[in-house]
Amino acid sequence: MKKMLNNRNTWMGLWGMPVLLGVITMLGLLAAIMSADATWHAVSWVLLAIPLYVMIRYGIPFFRR
Amino acid sequence: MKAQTIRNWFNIHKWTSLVCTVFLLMLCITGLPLIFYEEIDHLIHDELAVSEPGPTPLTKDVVLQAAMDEIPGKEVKYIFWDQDHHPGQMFVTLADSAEAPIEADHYLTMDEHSATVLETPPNEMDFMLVMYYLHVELLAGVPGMLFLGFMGLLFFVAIVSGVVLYGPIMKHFDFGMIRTEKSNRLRWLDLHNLLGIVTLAWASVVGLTGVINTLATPALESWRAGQLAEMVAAYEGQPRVKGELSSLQAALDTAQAAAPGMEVSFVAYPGTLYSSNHHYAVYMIGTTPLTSRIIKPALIDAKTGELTDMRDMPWYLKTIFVSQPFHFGDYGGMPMKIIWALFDVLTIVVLISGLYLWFARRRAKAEQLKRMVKNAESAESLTLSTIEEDAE
Repeated sequence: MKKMLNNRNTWMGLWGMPVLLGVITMLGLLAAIMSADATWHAVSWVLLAIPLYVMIRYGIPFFRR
Repeated sequence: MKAQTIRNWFNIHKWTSLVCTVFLLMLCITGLPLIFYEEIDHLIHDELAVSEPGPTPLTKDVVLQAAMDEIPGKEVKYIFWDQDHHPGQMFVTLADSAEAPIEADHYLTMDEHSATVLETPPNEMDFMLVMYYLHVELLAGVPGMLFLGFMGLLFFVAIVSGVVLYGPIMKHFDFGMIRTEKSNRLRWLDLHNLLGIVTLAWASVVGLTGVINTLATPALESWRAGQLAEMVAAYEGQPRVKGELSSLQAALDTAQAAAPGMEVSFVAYPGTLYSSNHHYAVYMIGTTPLTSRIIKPALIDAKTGELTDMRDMPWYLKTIFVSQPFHFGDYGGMPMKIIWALFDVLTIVVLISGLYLWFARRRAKAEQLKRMVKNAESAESLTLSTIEEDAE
């Protein structure tokens, strides 16, 4: 089983993922708006799909009881 | 963080959330179909067939005349174009007079290539318009719009306080852990924390740009009273232009020449809210998702056809217009719309789980109180019986 309790969470351990996902989301939003170009649109979709994937990946155990 | 500080932030999170949640749920639910406005609109209304362009394009004057002949005795208020989604079409708004209220407007969709009427859509609310007006103003005009803006602000405070609480709660846990083996309440709390922290950036951007959008009406009012009035100051007090107006096509060409690289979005006729008594106001827009939100009005004398002024809009209007696409998510094709919808649904889950946590906490507290009262009572009877025993 994955260790869930760690008594010494570093700043990065606590905020690393939230900050990373926030930056990815913002880049995803900006990528599409800066140009009407198809490549940038695709970049934007990929970036925005990352936080969605993370929510599904980590959210699944909620349904396993 | 001190226990008292955490308690304060908890209370801020609780109360801002409780006040705005119902409205936020409404916004998320009505926003869902609005993301797909275009697609749903296409489903409900048949695609209009625009005829092939002829060898020489018809002037807009000819197309407009055909619209005016369709409903005689009316005046033109506005003309719109939508090159991206409805090329070859020209949307004309006619009314008894330029000052007439919008409820009595007549809409005509014109075929620019044949100067024929494609459609005269009724001026009434349909499902999507009800969704739109609920979402934008709770069907309650500008006060409703500003009220929703305030709810959006509370939502943002709830997001910020939620992030502050995320620290102490997650201090000893790995990112994304969901405790399923303990109580239901912990399971939901963990889900709330996970979805809340991951949707943070999206929800903040969409929430804040939504708040900014609610300021559009007062900002436009202020622009009309300020910059627009300044631009037409030389014509102040003059009566409405009467009789034959200068050519519409010429006005469009003049505006186009003055703003190269931009295209015409709409024209406001003399006497309407967005022009003077004496001008065609030709509103030019850029051609990328971002610049298409930056509007530049060119004022053209509706008698002489001369360009009298053209200015950039003030920064506050630019800010509002530029922030709009970040709210709509309509600038990155279909996948982006689906992504927007998924984030919207996950925000609904954050709201509902938050509401559940509030109920569950209250229930837990009530049960705890009951237990304490019960314990106190049994303790009391115990004491009483001891006293009685002692008395014997």
